[in-house]
Amino acid sequence: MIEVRGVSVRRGKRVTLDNVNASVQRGQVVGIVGPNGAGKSTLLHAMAGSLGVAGGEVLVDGQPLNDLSLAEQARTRAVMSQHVDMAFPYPVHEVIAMGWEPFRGLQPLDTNRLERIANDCGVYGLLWRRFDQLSGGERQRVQFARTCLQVDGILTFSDGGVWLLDEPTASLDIGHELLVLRHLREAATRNVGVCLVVHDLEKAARFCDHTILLDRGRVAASGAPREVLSDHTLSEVYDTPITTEWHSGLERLLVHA
Amino acid sequence: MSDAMVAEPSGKVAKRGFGQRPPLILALGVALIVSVSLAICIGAIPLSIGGVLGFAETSSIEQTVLYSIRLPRVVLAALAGAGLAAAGAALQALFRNPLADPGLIGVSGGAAVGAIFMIVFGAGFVAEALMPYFIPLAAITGAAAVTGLLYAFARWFGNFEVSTMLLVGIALNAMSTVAIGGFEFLSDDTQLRTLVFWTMGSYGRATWTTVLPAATVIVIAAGTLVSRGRALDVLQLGEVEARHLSINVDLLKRVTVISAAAAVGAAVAVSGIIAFVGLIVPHIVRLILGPSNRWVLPGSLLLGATLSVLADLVARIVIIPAELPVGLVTSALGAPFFLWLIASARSRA
Repeated sequence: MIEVRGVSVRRGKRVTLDNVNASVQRGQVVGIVGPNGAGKSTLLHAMAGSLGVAGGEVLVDGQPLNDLSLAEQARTRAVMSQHVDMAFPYPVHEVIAMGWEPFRGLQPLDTNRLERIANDCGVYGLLWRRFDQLSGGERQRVQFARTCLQVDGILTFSDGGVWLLDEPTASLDIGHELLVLRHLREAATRNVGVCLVVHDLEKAARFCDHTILLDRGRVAASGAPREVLSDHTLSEVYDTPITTEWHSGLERLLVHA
Repeated sequence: MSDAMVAEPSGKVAKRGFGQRPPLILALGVALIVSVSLAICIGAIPLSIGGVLGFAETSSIEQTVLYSIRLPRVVLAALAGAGLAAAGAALQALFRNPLADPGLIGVSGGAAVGAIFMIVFGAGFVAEALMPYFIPLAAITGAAAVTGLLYAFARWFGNFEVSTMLLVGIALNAMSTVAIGGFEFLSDDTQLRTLVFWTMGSYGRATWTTVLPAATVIVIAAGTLVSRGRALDVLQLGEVEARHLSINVDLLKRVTVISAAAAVGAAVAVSGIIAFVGLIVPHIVRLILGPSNRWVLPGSLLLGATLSVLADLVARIVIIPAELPVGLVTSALGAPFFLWLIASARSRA
């Protein structure tokens, strides 16, 4: 479990996160939503421990994050950032295999495991392509598979972990988007706490147990998707008239703007 | 999702891996042995391979040529080439930039400034006998200062593009030229001759007293770089991602900067600026072995040594009894190669 308590982050003079509380429990899918520049990625990276916080604390299973070694951190949580570019022509299978780095000292990477993950993530056909020649969406799927391998390692050596993802579906077509989101739901059933930044409010309502709505560095609302994603709150935060509708046939929340 | 269910796991990755890598590394090793043997035997006074290995009678002149002239020179050429190539490969990985060559980005220039400073002013505060240690030390300091400065620039710019890096390299090289010019102005006649040799690059001054300290540094530095291959691979995902995968990025950067600077500094201290070895060699190795630094670094060591030994052989024999500076030979090979790299990068973009 990862918990941030009263965390503030500054970039120069600008306050990008202001006294934010949030937590990700194991077995739960948490969606961070909000307008551009609300601090969604910043919150995710504060949870990951990849940026300095100006105030507050980040706890992993009740322990301050900074007390854990980099190896311990990497064996507890996987992080998928938004963009990864590589200057050299690495084949995709080598890129995915880097997800095993934290566990290399415990057990060598079995190629069957790599193939299984690639197959599950729908990148099997890309394994022998050059990463630098892939399209944006294909790269994103490969990075997803890389963190998926890391999560697989986390579950091999402990009974649960956390998976943080910054807009993992941003450049994906609808088929691959659903593949990724279903994968995350499935990971939650295996005692993984999932937290993702997501723009699509309907997808957030459909796939998340908990939503955090950020507005200019503060938590505007936090709770079950159907409570957080109300007409009034959304219209105010996004500064646009927004109506939501529960479609009982589909059993889904629809968002009209 | 079309390719999601294309194939069941079949062990294909295991089978299709770069299985040919170990034999290729072996071939590079054999090439090195062959070129070293050629370089030892060929020259103004030819030596027989039997004599070198002790099977045939050798005259005392041949003995002297072998142990005092040919051998230290070939050892220096091999180690300097290996050090420059490994440093080039490591800097390219560190800056995540395929055009980072120690010469182009100013690291060799910084080393030359350090070495020349020691030659011109060192006599004032260092005993003559300690010079073989202090010149490499000064060169390493100069190289480390430039590498550190470059890294600070890279962080400051956020994203260090290829063109920006080369422009910064031009500026740093210009600064080195100013410093070297200043030192030349202040030097006496004998020092000036040494300085000219420096700026051209040559293995011709190799003696065991100068080669051994530099060799020790290069072996340790290159060994350290080779041991970081896997971490440098993960670094290609980006600093933040590497940290998330348990890589101590700050330590990795420090170790890489210091080791690369040590290898370049030690090589420059004994042989002057040998350009383009650090650029050409890792590129060729990547074409043969793929981009993984676990293979590129050891491959660069071997091919760097081979190329450098052969370039020196060419420099020695084209105009016997005189010889060319080896830096001229590597530049003659490297400059067109560099142009080709730029052209191919352009056509891809």
